[in-house]
Amino acid sequence: MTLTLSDPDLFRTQAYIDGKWVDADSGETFAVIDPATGEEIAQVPRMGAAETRRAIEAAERAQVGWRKLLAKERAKILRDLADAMLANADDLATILTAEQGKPHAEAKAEIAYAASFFEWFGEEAKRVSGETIPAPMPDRRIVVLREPIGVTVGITPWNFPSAMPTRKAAPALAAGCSMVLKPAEQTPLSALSVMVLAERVGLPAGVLSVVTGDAEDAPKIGGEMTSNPIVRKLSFTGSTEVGKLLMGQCAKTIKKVSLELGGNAPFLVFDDADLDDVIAAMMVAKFRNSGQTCISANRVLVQDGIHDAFVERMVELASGITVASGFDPAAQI
Amino acid sequence: MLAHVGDAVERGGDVLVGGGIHEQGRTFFSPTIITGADMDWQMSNEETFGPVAAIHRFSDEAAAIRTANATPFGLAAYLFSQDHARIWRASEGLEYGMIAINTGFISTEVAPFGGIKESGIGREGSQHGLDDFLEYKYLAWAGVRG
Repeated sequence: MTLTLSDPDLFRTQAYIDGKWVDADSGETFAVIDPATGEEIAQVPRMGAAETRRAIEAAERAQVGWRKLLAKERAKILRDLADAMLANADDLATILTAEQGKPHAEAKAEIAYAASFFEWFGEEAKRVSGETIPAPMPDRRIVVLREPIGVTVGITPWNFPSAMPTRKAAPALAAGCSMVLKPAEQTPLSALSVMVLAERVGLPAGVLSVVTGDAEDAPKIGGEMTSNPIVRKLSFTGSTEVGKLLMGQCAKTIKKVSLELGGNAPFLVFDDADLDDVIAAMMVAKFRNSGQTCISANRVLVQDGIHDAFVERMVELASGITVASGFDPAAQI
Repeated sequence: MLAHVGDAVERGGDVLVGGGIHEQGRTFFSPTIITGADMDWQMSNEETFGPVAAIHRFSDEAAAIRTANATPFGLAAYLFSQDHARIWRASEGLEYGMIAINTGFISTEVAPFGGIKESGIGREGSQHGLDDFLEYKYLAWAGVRG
């Protein structure tokens, strides 16, 4: 299957480590499939612990210089990357829809959201201030610095193939850290397309790498990430089950851990709710991305007085939703 | 999803719309509405991760908040009301990292995104989002005489 892109260079099927586009050491690859048609879109490298270790070591070397740049200089690169994503939104969205299935319009919205993190955190980097504290003893000054934690890793899920990686990479890079990312095996292409743009805007080699692998490779890649003492922090978004496993693995080297796991969102409709607001919200909270988000309304609790009117409006809403391929302009889910 | 829907029907749920795989293909599920839900249903305790809405009926506000909190998760909650006191009571009572009030849309890079309890650790986005990537270093600087 070939995608129609204005800039076909954005479509990469190799991983990106230490500023180079590379295959797996073994040369093996795995298939990325279009969920709407079952067709193969690409073959992407099957990597393991060795490639991951090299990416981590490159991240360590690169971070020395990256953190020494002025916050303003890092911010400029991140701002340029945000702008590049927006300028190429259509193509990035096409790649995203092909590998993930969401409607193209939704994919474009995700690209804008993903880009916003680079813009935002570039700006925030310029505002990281430390403090001075009045000392309670003579001839002394107390100063508190805020410093980047070091080499970090990110593991991201398939539901937002662009925004999840950028949501982690942006604060890491802004703070002066480096990062090795492993996107979900179902959706590696979006992260790789962002790396094309990162390279173009001059992000130094090694500061951000993307390692790829399939479901079987994931524990090996993850295992290297959580056990390597060079890595000081893991950021993971995904299932609660895997989150607990990774957190446990990180305990051995006391790594800092950020986790964004499952939800069971209650959606409470009280008697005095405005039903128009409720129905509009339902469309977003339940049916956006076909309900495949961690913040999707999972339990709808409706007060007695408004229950029947609500159900009537919900049936109307649900019956009218257009289910189709993500490339069908009429598709809502 | 099919398992969740099946379980709901077995437990007395009423499928008003959808309930199965859409004619578009195997990987497409129909938007589905099921009424009569309670906390015994499988889908009340696990993420459905699909376009299926199970409707629970309640009468008492405090009981509804307790039901909403009866889960190890605490990521996002949504509430709809026009009464400001009720909005405060519910927002303070709900054990969640993010509360959506009269909207279904909360994702923005300027606000701290994340959950409590088993929904996670840390926040992404906002000025606080950098905290997770920074460490404090304390300099105890002595000998500054005069």
